This record gives sequence, C-alpha cells and structure tokens, in this order.
Amino acid sequence: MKAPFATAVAITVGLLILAGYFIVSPLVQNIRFFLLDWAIILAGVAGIVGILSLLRTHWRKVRSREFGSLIVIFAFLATLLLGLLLGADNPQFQFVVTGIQVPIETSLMAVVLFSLVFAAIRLFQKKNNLMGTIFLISMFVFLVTSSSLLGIAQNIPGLGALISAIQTLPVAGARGILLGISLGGIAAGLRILVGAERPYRG
Amino acid sequence: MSPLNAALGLFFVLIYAGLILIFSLPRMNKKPPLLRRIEAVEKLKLAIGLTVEAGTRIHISLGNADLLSPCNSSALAGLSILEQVALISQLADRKPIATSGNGTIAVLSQSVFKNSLEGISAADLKESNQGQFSGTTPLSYAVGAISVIRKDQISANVLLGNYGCEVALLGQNSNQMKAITLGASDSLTAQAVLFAASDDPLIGEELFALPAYLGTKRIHSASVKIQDFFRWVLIITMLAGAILKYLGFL
Repeated sequence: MKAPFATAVAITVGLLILAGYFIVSPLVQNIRFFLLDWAIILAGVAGIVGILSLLRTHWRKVRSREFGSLIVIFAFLATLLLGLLLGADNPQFQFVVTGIQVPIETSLMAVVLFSLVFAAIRLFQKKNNLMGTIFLISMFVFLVTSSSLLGIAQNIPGLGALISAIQTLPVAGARGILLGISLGGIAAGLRILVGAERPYRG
Repeated sequence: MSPLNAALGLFFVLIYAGLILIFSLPRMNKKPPLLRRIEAVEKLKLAIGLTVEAGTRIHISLGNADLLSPCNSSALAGLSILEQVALISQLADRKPIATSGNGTIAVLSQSVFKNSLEGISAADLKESNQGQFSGTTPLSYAVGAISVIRKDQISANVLLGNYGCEVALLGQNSNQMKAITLGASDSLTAQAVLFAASDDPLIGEELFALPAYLGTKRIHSASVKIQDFFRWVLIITMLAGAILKYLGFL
C-alpha cells in the first residue's frame, strides 16, 4: 500500500470526526473541534498554494505572449499590497475591491443569462424528444407561476389553490433528487473513510 | 440533534458501510455487475479513446466545492472519476487536465495525477500544470476554466462538481468548441442548467455511480448496489409513511 501512514491518519481522523457528529460526549466533541480547527488551517494553506498555482499559470501565459494575464497578476499584487498596508477590514480597501469585483461579476451574470437563454433554445433544437419537451413546458409554466403575472389570479377561488399546488411540484421533485444525491454522497464519503479511495496519497 | 436521531444516523451509516464492505468481498462479486447503459458514459469512454488517437485531451472540471463544506461529495466523486480517467489515459500524449475553484481540491487533484500517471515526477507535474486552480469565486472560476476549454485542444469536458448557474458558461463554451460535454452536479440549480447546456447530463445519484462504470474496483460496484438498495428502502418507507398517515395511524 502506498502512503500507509497518511492513510492511517486520514482514516483515524475521519472516524473521529464522524463519531463526534453522532456521539454527544464532551471528550469526543473536543477532539472533533480540535481536528476541525486543524483542517481549517490546512485548507487556508491549500488556498495559498492554489493562488500561487494560479499566479504561476498566468505568468506562464505572459511568457507565451498572452498579455491579458498581466492584468490578473497586477490586480493580485495591488490587492495584496493594499490589503497588507490598510488591513482586510479597512472600509476604503473593501470599497475599492468590491467596486471592481461587483461590477465585473454582475456583467458576467448578464452573460450567464444570455447563455441560459441560448441553452434553452439549443435544448429545443437538440433534444427534440419527450424529456426535452417536458423540460421546456415546465420551464415556461414555472416562470409564469413564480412571476407576479398571476398575482390577481391567486385571489380567484380554485385557481389560486391550483397555482399553489403547481408551485409545490418542484419541491417534491427536488427532494427526490436530493435523496439520491445524499445516498451517493454517503457512499463516496464512506469509500474514502474506509481507505478504498485515497486522493491524498500522491 | 436528539439522541434518537443521532443513534438512528449512526446505525444507518454503520449498516451502509458494512454492506458496502461485505458486497465488495471477492466471493460476492463472482459475476460482473449488471449496470444499465448510460449514453453519457459511452461518450466519455469514446472521448478517452480519442485522446490517444487524435492527440486531444479531456478536461475535468471539479467545481467550486470547499472540502470542508457539506457539498463536497460531488468534488470527491469528481476526484474519483479523475483518477479513473487519468489511469485510462496513461497512453495518451496529452494527459487530462483538471480545474477547480478551491485550493484543497486543486491540491488533491494534483495528488491524484501524481499517483495515477506512472513515471510522472512532481517537477513534470508542476510543469504540465494538470491540476489547476482557476479562480476563487464561482464566476472567476468559470472564466478561468473557459480559458482551458477554449485553448487546450480539449475533446471532452466533464463537468463534475458543485456549481451555480455559472456552469452555463462552461457548457456553452464547450459546445462552441464542438467538444463533448458531460455534466453532473449535486446542486439542483446546476443540474437544471446542465440538462439544457450539456449533451448528456447525469441526473441525481448517477454522478456517484460513474466510478463503477469507468473502473474495475469491486468497491465501486458494491457501493452502486447498496445505493440502489437504500434508494428502494427510502421509497418504500416514504410510501408506507404516506399511506399510514392517510389512514390515520401516524
């Protein structure tokens, strides 16, 4: 077995965290929170490693004459410098950062909207079958029932109850899908917990 | 959590783990598992074959999930599939590439590559940049992953992880590059978007069954069997509960 020590540590920590979730004992809870604190610190370190990897990727792009990546590197260094000088909680620093980030992400959300409309049209062209038709009809029905267009209709006896009943349908469907995902998620977690899958052994 | 709920939860997890381990024993796996055909998996296998023949590569997007959050299960399944794809792609000139929007998942994806691709050293892995961290927020991650989709001769994009509606951007760009798009997520929003934006969406727990389709490990087919078994247990329990409530017993 490759990396037996790492595997033993991972399985032991995993079992202790899982035990802390079900066993309400002060000792187990203390161990659980202690280990979780370590995990948060390690995740922070992994975040720094990730950001350095991202910078390296962009630096490589600059070297291969993709000069757009210079903006990313410059923005990173400027944010880092300002954050170190003023502090992350400084209102002026926050204003500058959000003043750049929010408009960019908002404009990207607008692009997402167009992508979604395009995907809906493409769906009708490509999946011209029963499921595709049901998906599109459902989409229009729930767009209309969830909007304020039928606000007056809510007061009409019978129709209001029908709209409310229609609006509960996605909840039922979502619960069914979420139950399946939960079962799959438990299986994926258990496979790692028993050491059958070890993404950390590299 | 009340003591009763905690006891029930612990009992459920122990039974689940015990059954997976029992069903992965060699004597329980004499016959190959009977898995229903999923079109998306067939296309993925075809795309892996193309990477060897046509010199293209596969991009596996692992989404934005944080390893310490409850929605990390899709990323864990994604890492498992990444391992399988990397193992199958050993002979390919262009190895698969993985992108993620979280530092811990990016580090784990590099670890998976190092472990799966025989003969690759840490220095080679660093140079090839196969396990990439593409952005810190969902939208910046999507933009970073788009640059991979559009520039790295990708023949198939496998979108497996936790996303929001920004996954539409990945799907659209993949379609524009005429690459095969296979998508699955544990997020309901992303599932709805992927149904429209990808060629072959996987619904619900199909994401977690993928390793059983791609690999040969007994534990994968065992976990699919147990998943199916518990799904039927839940369905019967819910139906029985509804009937009993209707009859006034609950």
